[in-house]
Amino acid sequence: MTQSTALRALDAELMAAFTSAGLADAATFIQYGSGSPTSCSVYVDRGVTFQGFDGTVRNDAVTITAFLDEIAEVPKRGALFAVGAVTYKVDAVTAKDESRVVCVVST
Amino acid sequence: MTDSVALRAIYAIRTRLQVIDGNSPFNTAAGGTVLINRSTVEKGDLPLLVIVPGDETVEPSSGGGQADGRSQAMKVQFDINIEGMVLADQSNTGEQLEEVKADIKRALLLFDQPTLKDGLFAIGPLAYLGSTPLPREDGANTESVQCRFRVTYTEKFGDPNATR
Repeated sequence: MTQSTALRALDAELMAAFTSAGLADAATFIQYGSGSPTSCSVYVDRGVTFQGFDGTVRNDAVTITAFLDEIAEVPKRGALFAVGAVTYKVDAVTAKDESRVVCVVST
Repeated sequence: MTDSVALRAIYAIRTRLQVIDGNSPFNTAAGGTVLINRSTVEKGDLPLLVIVPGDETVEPSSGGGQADGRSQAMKVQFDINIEGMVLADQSNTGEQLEEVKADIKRALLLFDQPTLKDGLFAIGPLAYLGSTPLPREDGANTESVQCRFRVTYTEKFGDPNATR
Protein backbone atom coordinates (compact mmCIF):
# COMPACT_ATOMS: atom_id res chain seq x y z
CA MET A 1 0.00 0.00 0.00
CA THR A 2 1.38 3.39 -0.94
CA GLN A 3 1.19 6.53 1.19
CA SER A 4 -1.31 7.94 -1.26
CA THR A 5 -3.55 4.89 -1.06
CA ALA A 6 -3.31 4.78 2.72
CA LEU A 7 -4.12 8.49 3.12
CA ARG A 8 -7.09 8.29 0.77
CA ALA A 9 -8.47 5.21 2.53
CA LEU A 10 -8.04 6.85 5.94
CA ASP A 11 -9.66 10.10 4.80
CA ALA A 12 -12.58 8.21 3.27
CA GLU A 13 -13.12 6.33 6.51
CA LEU A 14 -12.94 9.53 8.57
CA MET A 15 -15.28 11.35 6.21
CA ALA A 16 -17.83 8.54 6.48
CA ALA A 17 -17.67 8.73 10.25
CA PHE A 18 -17.89 12.53 10.36
CA THR A 19 -20.74 12.54 7.86
CA SER A 20 -22.66 10.08 10.04
CA ALA A 21 -22.04 12.37 13.00
CA GLY A 22 -23.22 15.44 11.09
CA LEU A 23 -19.79 17.02 11.03
CA ALA A 24 -19.31 17.06 7.25
CA ASP A 25 -21.41 18.34 4.38
CA ALA A 26 -22.48 17.13 0.96
CA ALA A 27 -21.38 19.56 -1.73
CA THR A 28 -21.29 20.10 -5.46
CA PHE A 29 -17.94 21.01 -6.97
CA ILE A 30 -17.57 22.87 -10.25
CA GLN A 31 -14.03 23.31 -11.49
CA TYR A 32 -13.24 26.75 -12.91
CA GLY A 33 -13.58 26.61 -16.67
CA SER A 34 -15.27 23.21 -16.60
CA GLY A 35 -18.92 23.71 -15.84
CA SER A 36 -19.71 20.07 -15.08
CA PRO A 37 -20.73 19.53 -11.44
CA THR A 38 -19.24 16.80 -9.28
CA SER A 39 -20.81 15.57 -6.05
CA CYS A 40 -18.43 15.40 -3.13
CA SER A 41 -18.14 15.60 0.63
CA VAL A 42 -16.43 18.52 2.33
CA TYR A 43 -15.53 19.93 5.69
CA VAL A 44 -16.45 23.59 6.05
CA ASP A 45 -14.49 25.40 8.73
CA ARG A 46 -15.60 28.87 9.70
CA GLY A 47 -13.54 31.54 11.36
CA VAL A 48 -13.22 35.28 11.49
CA THR A 49 -10.64 37.68 10.12
CA PHE A 50 -10.28 41.45 10.30
CA GLN A 51 -9.39 43.57 7.29
CA GLY A 52 -8.35 47.20 7.45
CA PHE A 53 -6.05 49.75 9.04
CA ASP A 54 -7.03 51.44 12.31
CA GLY A 55 -10.62 50.68 11.49
CA THR A 56 -11.26 47.08 10.54
CA VAL A 57 -14.09 45.09 9.01
CA ARG A 58 -14.95 41.69 10.38
CA ASN A 59 -14.90 39.15 7.55
CA ASP A 60 -15.71 35.48 7.45
CA ALA A 61 -12.69 33.25 7.10
CA VAL A 62 -13.98 30.03 5.57
CA THR A 63 -11.92 27.09 4.44
CA ILE A 64 -13.24 24.06 2.61
CA THR A 65 -11.48 20.72 2.73
CA ALA A 66 -12.25 18.41 -0.18
CA PHE A 67 -10.84 15.07 -1.31
CA LEU A 68 -9.09 14.31 -4.54
CA ASP A 69 -10.71 10.88 -4.76
CA GLU A 70 -13.99 12.73 -5.28
CA ILE A 71 -13.12 15.97 -7.07
CA ALA A 72 -10.25 14.45 -9.10
CA GLU A 73 -8.24 17.64 -9.51
CA VAL A 74 -7.02 20.54 -7.43
CA PRO A 75 -9.52 23.42 -7.52
CA LYS A 76 -8.43 26.44 -9.52
CA ARG A 77 -9.02 30.02 -8.43
CA GLY A 78 -12.68 30.68 -9.24
CA ALA A 79 -13.84 27.07 -8.80
CA LEU A 80 -17.14 26.69 -6.93
CA PHE A 81 -18.35 24.59 -4.02
CA ALA A 82 -22.11 24.66 -3.45
CA VAL A 83 -22.90 23.62 0.10
CA GLY A 84 -26.60 23.78 0.89
CA ALA A 85 -27.84 27.20 -0.14
CA VAL A 86 -24.39 28.80 -0.12
CA THR A 87 -21.96 28.84 -3.03
CA TYR A 88 -18.33 29.42 -2.17
CA LYS A 89 -15.74 30.58 -4.67
CA VAL A 90 -12.17 29.34 -4.32
CA ASP A 91 -9.67 32.16 -3.78
CA ALA A 92 -6.61 30.05 -3.04
CA VAL A 93 -5.43 26.56 -2.17
CA THR A 94 -3.57 26.71 1.12
CA ALA A 95 -2.76 23.04 1.75
CA LYS A 96 -2.63 19.86 -0.28
CA ASP A 97 -1.37 16.33 0.03
CA GLU A 98 -1.98 13.05 -1.82
CA SER A 99 -5.55 12.88 -0.57
CA ARG A 100 -7.02 16.21 0.43
CA VAL A 101 -6.95 19.83 -0.54
CA VAL A 102 -7.77 22.84 1.63
CA CYS A 103 -9.14 25.97 -0.04
CA VAL A 104 -9.68 29.50 1.21
CA VAL A 105 -13.05 30.55 -0.16
CA SER A 106 -15.24 33.61 -0.30
CA THR A 107 -18.93 34.09 -0.94
CA MET B 1 -19.04 75.55 25.54
CA THR B 2 -17.48 75.39 22.12
CA ASP B 3 -15.50 72.47 20.78
CA SER B 4 -11.75 72.50 20.37
CA VAL B 5 -10.37 73.57 17.02
CA ALA B 6 -9.21 69.99 16.46
CA LEU B 7 -12.68 68.58 17.05
CA ARG B 8 -14.21 71.25 14.83
CA ALA B 9 -11.78 70.22 12.10
CA ILE B 10 -12.93 66.61 12.45
CA TYR B 11 -16.57 67.66 12.28
CA ALA B 12 -15.88 69.85 9.25
CA ILE B 13 -14.26 66.90 7.47
CA ARG B 14 -17.19 64.68 8.40
CA THR B 15 -19.60 67.21 6.93
CA ARG B 16 -17.67 67.27 3.67
CA LEU B 17 -17.53 63.47 3.50
CA GLN B 18 -21.26 63.12 4.05
CA VAL B 19 -21.94 64.44 0.54
CA ILE B 20 -20.68 61.13 -0.90
CA ASP B 21 -24.12 59.75 -1.66
CA GLY B 22 -23.64 57.52 -4.68
CA ASN B 23 -25.04 60.10 -7.07
CA SER B 24 -22.89 61.67 -9.79
CA PRO B 25 -20.06 62.54 -9.55
CA PHE B 26 -19.56 60.05 -6.73
CA ASN B 27 -18.94 56.34 -7.27
CA THR B 28 -20.09 55.07 -3.89
CA ALA B 29 -22.52 55.96 -1.12
CA ALA B 30 -19.81 55.71 1.54
CA GLY B 31 -20.73 59.12 2.95
CA GLY B 32 -23.96 57.64 4.27
CA THR B 33 -22.01 56.28 7.21
CA VAL B 34 -19.10 58.34 8.49
CA LEU B 35 -17.68 57.16 11.79
CA ILE B 36 -15.03 58.67 14.02
CA ASN B 37 -12.35 56.36 15.42
CA ARG B 38 -14.42 53.21 15.15
CA SER B 39 -12.16 50.18 15.47
CA THR B 40 -14.40 47.41 14.15
CA VAL B 41 -17.33 47.52 11.77
CA GLU B 42 -19.59 44.94 10.19
CA LYS B 43 -19.64 44.00 6.52
CA GLY B 44 -23.34 44.74 6.34
CA ASP B 45 -22.65 48.41 7.09
CA LEU B 46 -20.37 48.92 4.09
CA PRO B 47 -19.57 51.10 2.24
CA LEU B 48 -18.51 53.51 4.95
CA LEU B 49 -15.80 55.92 6.00
CA VAL B 50 -13.89 56.12 9.26
CA ILE B 51 -12.17 59.32 10.36
CA VAL B 52 -9.06 58.49 12.36
CA PRO B 53 -7.41 61.50 14.02
CA GLY B 54 -3.65 61.19 14.09
CA ASP B 55 -0.63 63.16 15.28
CA GLU B 56 -0.81 66.78 16.25
CA THR B 57 2.45 68.61 15.64
CA VAL B 58 3.38 72.13 16.68
CA GLU B 59 5.95 74.12 14.77
CA PRO B 60 8.56 75.36 17.27
CA SER B 61 9.19 78.54 15.33
CA SER B 62 5.61 79.64 15.70
CA GLY B 63 5.64 80.06 19.46
CA GLY B 64 6.22 76.38 20.00
CA GLY B 65 3.65 76.03 22.72
CA GLN B 66 5.84 78.11 25.02
CA ALA B 67 4.35 80.79 27.23
CA ASP B 68 7.37 82.96 26.64
CA GLY B 69 5.49 86.17 26.11
CA ARG B 70 6.47 86.47 22.49
CA SER B 71 3.36 84.95 21.04
CA GLN B 72 0.19 83.30 22.13
CA ALA B 73 -0.13 81.58 18.77
CA MET B 74 0.84 77.98 18.07
CA LYS B 75 0.89 76.76 14.50
CA VAL B 76 -0.64 73.30 14.67
CA GLN B 77 -0.49 70.57 12.07
CA PHE B 78 -3.21 68.02 12.71
CA ASP B 79 -2.99 64.76 10.74
CA ILE B 80 -6.27 63.06 10.00
CA ASN B 81 -6.65 59.75 8.18
CA ILE B 82 -9.78 58.81 6.31
CA GLU B 83 -10.34 55.12 5.82
CA GLY B 84 -12.70 54.05 3.07
CA MET B 85 -14.15 50.56 3.44
CA VAL B 86 -16.01 48.88 0.62
CA LEU B 87 -17.29 45.48 -0.42
CA ALA B 88 -15.28 43.64 -3.06
CA ASP B 89 -15.14 40.18 -4.54
CA GLN B 90 -12.82 38.14 -6.69
CA SER B 91 -13.99 39.83 -9.88
CA ASN B 92 -13.31 43.41 -8.79
CA THR B 93 -10.56 43.22 -6.19
CA GLY B 94 -8.62 46.47 -6.10
CA GLU B 95 -11.19 48.39 -8.11
CA GLN B 96 -13.65 49.29 -5.37
CA LEU B 97 -11.00 50.86 -3.16
CA GLU B 98 -10.00 53.12 -6.04
CA GLU B 99 -13.62 54.16 -6.41
CA VAL B 100 -13.94 55.19 -2.78
CA LYS B 101 -10.50 56.83 -2.78
CA ALA B 102 -11.64 59.03 -5.65
CA ASP B 103 -14.79 59.88 -3.74
CA ILE B 104 -12.84 60.92 -0.65
CA LYS B 105 -10.59 63.21 -2.71
CA ARG B 106 -13.53 64.65 -4.59
CA ALA B 107 -15.40 65.44 -1.37
CA LEU B 108 -12.50 66.89 0.60
CA LEU B 109 -10.26 68.61 -1.91
CA LEU B 110 -12.42 71.44 -3.10
CA PHE B 111 -10.60 73.75 -5.49
CA ASP B 112 -12.69 76.74 -4.53
CA GLN B 113 -12.67 75.93 -0.80
CA PRO B 114 -9.10 74.92 0.14
CA THR B 115 -9.67 76.15 3.68
CA LEU B 116 -11.55 73.86 6.03
CA LYS B 117 -14.47 75.69 7.61
CA ASP B 118 -16.75 75.22 10.58
CA GLY B 119 -19.77 77.00 9.22
CA LEU B 120 -18.53 80.47 8.32
CA PHE B 121 -15.55 80.12 10.64
CA ALA B 122 -12.29 79.31 8.85
CA ILE B 123 -10.16 76.64 10.52
CA GLY B 124 -7.25 76.28 8.15
CA PRO B 125 -6.05 74.79 4.87
CA LEU B 126 -6.51 71.09 4.22
CA ALA B 127 -3.70 69.23 2.47
CA TYR B 128 -3.70 65.75 0.95
CA LEU B 129 -0.61 63.72 1.89
CA GLY B 130 -1.25 60.45 0.04
CA SER B 131 -2.92 57.09 0.42
CA THR B 132 -2.28 53.42 1.09
CA PRO B 133 -4.41 50.68 -0.46
CA LEU B 134 -5.36 47.43 1.23
CA PRO B 135 -6.91 45.25 -1.48
CA ARG B 136 -9.25 42.38 -0.66
CA GLU B 137 -7.40 39.43 0.82
CA ASP B 138 -8.19 35.85 -0.16
CA GLY B 139 -11.32 34.71 1.64
CA ALA B 140 -12.51 38.21 2.45
CA ASN B 141 -15.27 40.30 0.89
CA THR B 142 -14.00 43.76 1.74
CA GLU B 143 -11.13 46.08 0.98
CA SER B 144 -9.95 49.42 2.29
CA VAL B 145 -7.95 52.49 1.48
CA GLN B 146 -6.35 54.89 3.91
CA CYS B 147 -6.15 58.51 2.75
CA ARG B 148 -3.94 60.86 4.74
CA PHE B 149 -4.75 64.53 5.22
CA ARG B 150 -3.34 67.39 7.25
CA VAL B 151 -5.16 70.46 8.45
CA THR B 152 -3.05 73.40 9.56
CA TYR B 153 -4.32 76.08 11.89
CA THR B 154 -3.15 78.52 14.51
CA GLU B 155 -4.26 77.75 18.03
CA LYS B 156 -4.14 80.10 20.99
CA PHE B 157 -1.68 79.01 23.67
CA GLY B 158 -3.58 77.49 26.58
CA ASP B 159 -6.93 77.69 24.83
CA PRO B 160 -7.44 74.82 22.35
CA ASN B 161 -10.88 76.17 21.50
CA ALA B 162 -9.52 79.40 20.09
CA THR B 163 -7.63 80.20 16.95
CA ARG B 164 -5.34 83.18 16.62
